[in-house]
Amino acid sequence: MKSQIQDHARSLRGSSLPALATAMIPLILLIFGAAKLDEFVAASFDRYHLRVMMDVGIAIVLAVSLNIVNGYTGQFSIGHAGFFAVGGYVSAALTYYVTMSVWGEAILIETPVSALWPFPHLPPVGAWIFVGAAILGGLVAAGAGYLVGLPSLRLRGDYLAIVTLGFGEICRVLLERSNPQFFDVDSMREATVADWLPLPLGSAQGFTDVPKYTSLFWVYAFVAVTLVFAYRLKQSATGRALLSIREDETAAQAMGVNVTLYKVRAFVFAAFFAGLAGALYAHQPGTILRPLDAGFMRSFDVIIIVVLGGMGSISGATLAAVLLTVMAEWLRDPTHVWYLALYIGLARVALTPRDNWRDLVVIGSSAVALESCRAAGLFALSFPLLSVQVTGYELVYATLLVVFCILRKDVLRGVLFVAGVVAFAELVRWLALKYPVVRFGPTEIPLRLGDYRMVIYALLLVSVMIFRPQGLLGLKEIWDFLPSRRHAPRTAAPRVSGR
Amino acid sequence: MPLLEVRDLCVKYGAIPALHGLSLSVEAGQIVTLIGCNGAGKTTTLRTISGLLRPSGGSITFNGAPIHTLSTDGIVRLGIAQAPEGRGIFGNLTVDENLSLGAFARRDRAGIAKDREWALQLFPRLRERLRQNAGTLSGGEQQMLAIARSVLARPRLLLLDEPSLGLAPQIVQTIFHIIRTIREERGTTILLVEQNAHMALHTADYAYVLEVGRIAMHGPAARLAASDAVRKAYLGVA
Ligand SMILES: Nc1ncnc2c1ncn2[C@@H]1O[C@H](COP(=O)(O)OP(=O)(O)O)[C@@H](O)[C@H]1O
Ligand SMILES: [Mg+2]
Repeated sequence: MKSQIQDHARSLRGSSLPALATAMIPLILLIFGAAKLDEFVAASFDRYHLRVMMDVGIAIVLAVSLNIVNGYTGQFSIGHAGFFAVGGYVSAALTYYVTMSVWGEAILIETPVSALWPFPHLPPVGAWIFVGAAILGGLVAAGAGYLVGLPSLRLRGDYLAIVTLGFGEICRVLLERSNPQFFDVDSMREATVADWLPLPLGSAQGFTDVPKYTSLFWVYAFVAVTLVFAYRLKQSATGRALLSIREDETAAQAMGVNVTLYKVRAFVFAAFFAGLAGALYAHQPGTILRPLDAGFMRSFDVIIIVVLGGMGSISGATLAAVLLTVMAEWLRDPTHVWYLALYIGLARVALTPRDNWRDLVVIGSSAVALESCRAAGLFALSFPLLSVQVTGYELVYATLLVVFCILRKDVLRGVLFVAGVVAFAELVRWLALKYPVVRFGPTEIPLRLGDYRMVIYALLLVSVMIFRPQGLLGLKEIWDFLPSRRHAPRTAAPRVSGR
Repeated sequence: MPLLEVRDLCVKYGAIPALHGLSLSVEAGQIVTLIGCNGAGKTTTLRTISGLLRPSGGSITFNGAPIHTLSTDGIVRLGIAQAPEGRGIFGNLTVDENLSLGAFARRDRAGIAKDREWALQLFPRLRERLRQNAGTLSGGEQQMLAIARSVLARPRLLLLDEPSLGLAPQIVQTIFHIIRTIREERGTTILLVEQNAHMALHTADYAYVLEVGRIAMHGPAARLAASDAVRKAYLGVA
């Protein structure tokens, strides 16, 4: 019992060495993973797919950070894009103008660090300029977060939402009113104060030609930092204070939580990581920073991810960020939609006679993973013996279904549904090729689902929210759904009788 | 010197006064009860003591120092904890997380762990439900959690707002028994607000009767319980 008390004492507040180690080990592992991802995956994908994978990472950072305010603390912020843009513009302006004034033009600086430092294999000098600029961008965004957090001392609910919305729109307008960008050193040298103030951030035209440092490695390294921070925060005394504010502000006060202080903290943390996401975006190949990046459309994209993932759930926000970003891309090509609907629908029928949500999450995410492989051209085996082309990814999917059915001691149904999947997949593929156009009497309507991308996207969202209003994972984390000894079930133990 | 001294306290909701010049004092180590009908101003009194409401007049001193200008978290840090009316538990957090929040203002880890153990011995039911969401507890268990949580702040003064509200008589007995245990084992001073005058007067050392924002009567609990006026108005004895 004594040791039980000590254990608990240790788990209470994390500032000791073991606590630091528990944060550092996953962080180092994740960053190592990001490096490996970059090394092995980057080579085998084209620019488009790399861009989507980076977009996914940036969406994760944005969603997980917004979740600190909207999910943990229960404050409704709809100005997250403002912090994103602040971080993006500040970091972009830093790398661009610093590189230009030191090296004469804003180019990628590939000088290896080993010239200055006795470590080989480290990223080159320019990458460190980028990281420094990103952190500064994050800090400026955090400062903005502090200012926006202040009104939340007095305001609740809708009023706070309006303030945050206003913040994003103010950022947008200020960026539109900024001075034109300097495109070479000479114009930079000759510039007067009037050219520098307001800052030369490219006005409504946008800010371009930023050195493109963002790579798969940096995106996922930042994702790692964000995830570990968010997780540690949630476990910490500070995180519990934020959650208690969401649950009941008055009761939180009664516990001795300085509600105003913690709300502002939530805004500062969230804004910092949104700023980092902005820096990643600003240095991503193909980006032109525009004032609209601070606008409410982007804020809403992030809110949708957080709401869909489940308020306060880190893994939920991550899952939803992946799903929605990938989905929005897939909807450009209708066949993906058919396949996805088909897989998820069949899996649901096959495996979840009753509302077994855990299976659906597993099946749904594996279907998404497999469909990504198909889209990227992996597992492209074919069976020329059968005139139908059964490809490898379908086999993998089919195997998965069989495994599940065997686990449920229902082999016959498994086999039937595998056959069903293959047959339907063929049918859909054939239909999509055969009928690109629908005829209504004399009029021909081209059946390009891609044109209705956002409509389908919205319909999918609506159906998820009707089906599961608390979001994909609700208030839980994905590991709460797994059977485990360490994480005993958090909910619904049987009530005491006789009450 | 009393541990808590409330003098001529006036509190208004907007323009409408709820307390007009309320005075009471709580001696260290005692259980003092404040009884009164619905709407008499009991909750208002507690919320003002804990800094959730600002008085428009009068003073509150704790341990000799004025506290009516401090913020709630400052007051908690001075050693006044409360189990608020309606329990105020954090429904989507686990019982364990609720308990940790009770000790939020403390920094002495070893002490917190010991007190947690002590609180779980007082309420063995909570130990069985540590990982369960607090919102799934029954009403009685939620009240137990609210009290256990406030005890974890290791307060010198504990404010309890109607701990018996909406509970079955048997549970009410248990709760009042535990309130006495807390005072006996910890020496915690307790200000107990109740409508259940019978149980409150039975438990407390000293009692105040509140009628529409004013103290109508006060005295040792046993003497008030025997007085005709209280017996008629609050104990339902004809
Ligand atoms: N938030 C509020 N706004 C306005 N009036 C209130 C508020 N809370 C309580 N009151 C009024 O103050 C008086 C005292 O209420 P309260 O302290 O809650 O009584 P009790 O706890 O004794 O039942 C009542 O007349 C009540 O209507
Ligand atoms: Mg009351």
